[in-house]
Amino acid sequence: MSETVIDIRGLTRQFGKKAALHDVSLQVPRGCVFGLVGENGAGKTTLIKHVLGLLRAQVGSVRVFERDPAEDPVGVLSRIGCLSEDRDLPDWMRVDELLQYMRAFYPSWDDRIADELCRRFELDLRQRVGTLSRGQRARAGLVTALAHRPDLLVLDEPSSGLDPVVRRDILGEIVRTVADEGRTVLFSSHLLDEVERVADRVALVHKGRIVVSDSLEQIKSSHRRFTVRFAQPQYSPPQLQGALACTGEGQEWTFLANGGSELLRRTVADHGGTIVDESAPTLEEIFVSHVK
Amino acid sequence: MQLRISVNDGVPIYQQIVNQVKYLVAAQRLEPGEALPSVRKLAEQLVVNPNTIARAYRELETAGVIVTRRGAGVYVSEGGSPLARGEQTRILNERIDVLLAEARQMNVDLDTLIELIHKRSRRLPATSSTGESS
Amino acid sequence: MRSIEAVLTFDFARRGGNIFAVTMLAMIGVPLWIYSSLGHSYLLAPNSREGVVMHVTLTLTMGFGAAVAVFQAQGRIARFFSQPISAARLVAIQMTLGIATIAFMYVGTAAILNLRGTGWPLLGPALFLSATLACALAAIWSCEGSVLSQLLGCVATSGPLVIWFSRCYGATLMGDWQVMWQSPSMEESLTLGAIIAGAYVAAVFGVARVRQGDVCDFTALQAWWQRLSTSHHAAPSFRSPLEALRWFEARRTYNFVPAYLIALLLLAMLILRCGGWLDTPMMFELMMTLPLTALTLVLPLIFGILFGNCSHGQVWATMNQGIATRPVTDSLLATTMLSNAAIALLRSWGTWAIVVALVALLAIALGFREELLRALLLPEGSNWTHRLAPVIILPLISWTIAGLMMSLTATGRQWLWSLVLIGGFSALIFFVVIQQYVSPPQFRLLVLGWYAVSGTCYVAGTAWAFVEALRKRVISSGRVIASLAAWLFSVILLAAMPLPPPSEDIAWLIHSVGILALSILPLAALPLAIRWNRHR
Repeated sequence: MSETVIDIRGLTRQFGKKAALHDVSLQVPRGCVFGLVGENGAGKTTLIKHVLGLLRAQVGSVRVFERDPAEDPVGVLSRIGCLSEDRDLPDWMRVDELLQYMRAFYPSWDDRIADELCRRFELDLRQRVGTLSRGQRARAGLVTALAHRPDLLVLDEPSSGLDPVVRRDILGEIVRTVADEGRTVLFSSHLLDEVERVADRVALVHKGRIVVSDSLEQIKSSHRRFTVRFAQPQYSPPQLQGALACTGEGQEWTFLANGGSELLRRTVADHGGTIVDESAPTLEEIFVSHVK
Repeated sequence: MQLRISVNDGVPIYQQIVNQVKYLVAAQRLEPGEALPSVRKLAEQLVVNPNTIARAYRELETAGVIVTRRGAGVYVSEGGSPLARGEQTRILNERIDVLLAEARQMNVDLDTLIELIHKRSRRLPATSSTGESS
Repeated sequence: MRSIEAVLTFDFARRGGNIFAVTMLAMIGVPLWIYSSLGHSYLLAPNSREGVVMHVTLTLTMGFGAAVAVFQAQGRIARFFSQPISAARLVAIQMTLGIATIAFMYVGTAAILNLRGTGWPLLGPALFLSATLACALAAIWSCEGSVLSQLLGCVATSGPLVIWFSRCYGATLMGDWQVMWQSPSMEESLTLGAIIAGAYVAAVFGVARVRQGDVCDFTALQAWWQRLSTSHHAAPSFRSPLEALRWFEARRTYNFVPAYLIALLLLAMLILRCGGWLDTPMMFELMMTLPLTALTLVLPLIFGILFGNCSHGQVWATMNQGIATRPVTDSLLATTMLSNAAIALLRSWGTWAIVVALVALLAIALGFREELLRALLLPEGSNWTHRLAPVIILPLISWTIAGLMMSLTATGRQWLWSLVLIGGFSALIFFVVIQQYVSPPQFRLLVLGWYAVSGTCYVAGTAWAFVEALRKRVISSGRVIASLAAWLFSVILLAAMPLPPPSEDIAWLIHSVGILALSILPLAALPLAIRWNRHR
């Protein structure tokens, strides 16, 4: 099996005049939990639809398991378990009918896993999908996505609109999936604390472009937050080289720097300030600084 | 083994695990030779990426706090490692610093403070001394 | 800042633009076509009975169509409940828009038709349609929450009005219209005006109540029905993806419905006969003709659209992601849908055949043999081909229409729909209009030319579709060969059969060959459509 499960190069997508994705390149290695982060409408769902073969690459290429998902739906989709934001499960089916129906498509379906997950999620097999609550519907979808032991789990905003209990279930399953050898997870979310817990690599999508794409460790270690105390009160945000964002007022200001903290230290000294505190910023702060 | 992970701490998750395990060992809540949950189990329990757990375990092993037995799992290393004792001293020092700062604020001098400590120590029921003498 | 009136009008126009264009074209085109194909000028005399019947039937049908267009354009009134607008104002604007649209549509259509001398009255029916629409809107808005009560409300309010309208033309109830209702009298106009005002007031109260959340719903009833209807047998197990997809399609599209509808229709006729409203020869005649029309034209049209709809809601939305992410090829999806439609059609035809056969046996047993034979008897000069041809041709037409509608719907593109509908109705109107300005021989030449061209286009289009499908690998070569063989066989059969004129016309032959090609077109067009819809 190759080392790169998803290989996207130079992907551009236009919807009419609007560019939903612009020159996006992304590689998801095997065994990785890849988090796609961005605000609503940034292009995460569009990207995921390309991975599932629901959208064709207008410019650039998309390869999943080294195949084009739009050309070879059987080869690609049979190894993917997906949970979409719309929860497109048929309302009229019962849960046990749904499981039997999905089972027919995947030779690698494992009944024991399905049973165990249903038991753990407390799903009533006799109930119609249409009468399930939102959280239960998400859980049912998760069972159908996981029971065939997919090599790639694709989740589009899995936690949207769900209570913390269901969210924990979903995250737990993500962790369990990747703990198995060779299985990969791609999920998009705008809940950054979830992403911080489980992701190995993170990419920030903003207005159709990838702004940051790196391992989570690298992102967190290369960004530092400095609190600077100036001799004179500053009435407008001081422009310091190497700083991505700054907040504060009067004499104390906080800056977020990426990588070149040496440059920042020198510039701070030039402006007549002293660094009084240095800490690691949260993922949320890092991303907000890149976006604004 | 009860661990608490906070994402917004500013401290990386693996570091939090390392610190907490060291604390638990030092506080005798993890006995030498006791088994720790596997990487997979702990990842599921804390809902954290298994790689993060693996990294934490690697660091703990390098520090000598835990030891991996091939095929058998992860265990707390035997016989009070010097670092476990070092951890104990570190914790106590933290407490002492706080106490000293408070005493200074209240304008209580060092001798009075030591006297108070003796008094409170006599009130404690006689227990076997915890941990080896250092 | 724009006024609320402007905003709502703009919204109405934006949503309804396409729909109104198509409806208007249909309203103008279909009557024109009917009138011109009837040909004889005496039918069009405004005071002839036939002219009146045509007018009333067409007005009622067109009114219904226009009302549906208005409903579609307005959507649910609950969309505006969170806006800072009083119920009175909202109802006033929406009702005015609806009434203005339907009145304009009728008056426009009647004016254009009157150019041909049909002599349709303008004011009376326009007022009637406005009043009926107002009442229907009031009913629908007030009974929000339950489709059943909305339906009942519509029927209860428009029913009396339709009967009253029908009586204006001299009928006792319905059907035996005598004279044209030239212009409404003062009392009639005032009554209709008062009805509109009354509908307005009722609607305001209803909407205000619904806005508070006081909807009439039957959730308790629905829950009880769900509990009852949830089958308690075990979930089926499938041996292959094809089986699973087949089961899914059958359940999703409720493919037993067409057969049930036919059965209901026949049952209704039987009941009418037993109740004495229908005599036996009439019943036999109806049983032979009405279901055939339904089976050949109406059902394939409607169910083709429904079966081909792969999306959650609107017919032209993207494919339901649950279906699109199944690890199956596009051609398998297409095969499932085609076989689903074929099964549904077979069931319907079979139902009709079986019920009619049973009724015939019953009739013979009860001694109605004479009437039965008279109904089955064909006109003089017909031979076995005349008996065989309908048996083959009608189901074929039925399948072709269903297949083509399915392929059209499965593309999931609204603009394609509009294109096809507008193109079709425009062609219809074009021919009718041209007929006025050219002499009969020239017109006949034009029609023949149209037959030849369209027949060729059908064959060319089908060939292109199969080639494309092969290229894109959504169809197996085996299937292509089989389809080609079937088409060639049918063409040979057509050439060999001794059919009456106008079959000698080469143009008509080309057209028929083209129609036969269209009957195999769905096998290539549907996989292409699905591929186009699934991977955008």
